[in-house]
Amino acid sequence: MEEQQDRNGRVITITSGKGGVGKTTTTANVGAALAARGKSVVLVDADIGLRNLDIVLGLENRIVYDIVDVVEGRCRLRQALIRDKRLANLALIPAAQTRDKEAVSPEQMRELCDELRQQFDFILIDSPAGIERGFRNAIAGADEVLVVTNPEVSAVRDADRIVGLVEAAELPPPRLIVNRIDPELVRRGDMLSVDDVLEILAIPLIGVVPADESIVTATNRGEPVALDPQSRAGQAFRDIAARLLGEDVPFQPLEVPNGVWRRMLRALGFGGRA
Amino acid sequence: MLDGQRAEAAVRVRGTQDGVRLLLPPTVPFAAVLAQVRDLLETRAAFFRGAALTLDFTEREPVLDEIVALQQVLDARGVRVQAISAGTAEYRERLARWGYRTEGAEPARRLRLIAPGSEEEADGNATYVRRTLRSGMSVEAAGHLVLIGDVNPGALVVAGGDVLVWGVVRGTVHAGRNGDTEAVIAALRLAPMQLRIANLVARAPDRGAQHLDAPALARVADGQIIIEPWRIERR
Repeated sequence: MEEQQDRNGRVITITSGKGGVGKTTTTANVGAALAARGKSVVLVDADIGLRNLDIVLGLENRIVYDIVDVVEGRCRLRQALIRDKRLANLALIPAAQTRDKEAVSPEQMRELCDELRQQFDFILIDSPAGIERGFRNAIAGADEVLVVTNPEVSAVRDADRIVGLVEAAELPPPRLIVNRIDPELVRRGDMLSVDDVLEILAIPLIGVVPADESIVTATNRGEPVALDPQSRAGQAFRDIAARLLGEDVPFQPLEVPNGVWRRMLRALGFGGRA
Repeated sequence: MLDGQRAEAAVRVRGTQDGVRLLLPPTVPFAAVLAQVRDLLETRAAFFRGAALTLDFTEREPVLDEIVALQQVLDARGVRVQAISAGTAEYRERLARWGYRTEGAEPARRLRLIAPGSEEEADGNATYVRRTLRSGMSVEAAGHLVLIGDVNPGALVVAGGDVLVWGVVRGTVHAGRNGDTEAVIAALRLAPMQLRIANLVARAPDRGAQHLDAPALARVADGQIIIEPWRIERR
């Protein structure tokens, strides 16, 4: 901390407890949206051994050094930073694929975060699933935490556990992202609503991301939907970025898009599930 | 009269949460007591107007003639005697025979001193928790437990006595852990995963659980746990 703090960036950890709820997609898209707003952003993949964030960003083929190389001193921090191919002010520190969570300690994570804080406005840390070492590494250097959940009982249960652990770590109350909500299923009473989720978790809401098929294709292609002006999910991620920047953005109404079309398709015998 | 005795010898007035008490001194001749009471009624007329008071005979032996005389003086000023307290069970019995409403020497709500670590302590004291219990958290208390916050699914509360939750119970609560079937579980809303009282277990139905959207109380009746609306009346 004796060194000069040029940017005094914010370290934000994205976590969930349960796996597969969209942490990595959220990290990539919120990061891309912040970078598109002109902020300098670094994404840190803390899921050592299960590296993913590079794929979502389409940067897999550029990895030479990773986070373990940095903390073990095999390379300079600068060498492990991979610049995004679309946004010049977006960078990635990839996880190591051949190591495990024990390869990094919370103390090393804190030091890494402090170093990155000086160079970037935002440091987004993609946490692994679970509540063990990997999670504790991911929140070790965090200033704030975003909890991603799906509108499913099991995901909410795990998110609740995570919220408790974040509070116990004496971090400010985390903010919530409800990912993959399907307004049609909610309307039919087959899915928890955002209010149902909030009633249990009782933390501030920062984003609601609708279920969107374009996420799957975009992810496979390594293109963050946040950069696609047509995507509803992309808009939701851009809204989250704006809220992180302190803007008061209203939540998009969760109406069924093309409701008439869907109803007609269902009437014609095409399944209603998105 | 010596100065030192004056305080003890005087009729004293005390305002308590149960109303005004008139403490009557032990050894003073009744004529002097009566004069003092008259004097008090005169000098503090506003204070006594329309009051209902308790004649406190815990220090003085209650004598029927004295009580009647005091009542007459008080009545004349519009002050009603609501009860008479006496120092011993014998005196209380005597007063009751005379037709007066009596009251024990001890004010009813006086705090009892409980020896630390005693069985009484576990019985009389409650643990107070002010936070929401999230999934994976648990709280245990030897005696009663009061929790301000919710008990979320996956959280556990265990108490030797009652459990009172000022919030929603969605997780698991165990009251009367050591076998006390008198223990109860009360909450602003009971939508539990599971409730346990003593060695009984009640679980939420596997599907379609209907929960009372109002304060509720769970207790043991006829060997099983029942949940009923939380009424104000005492059981």
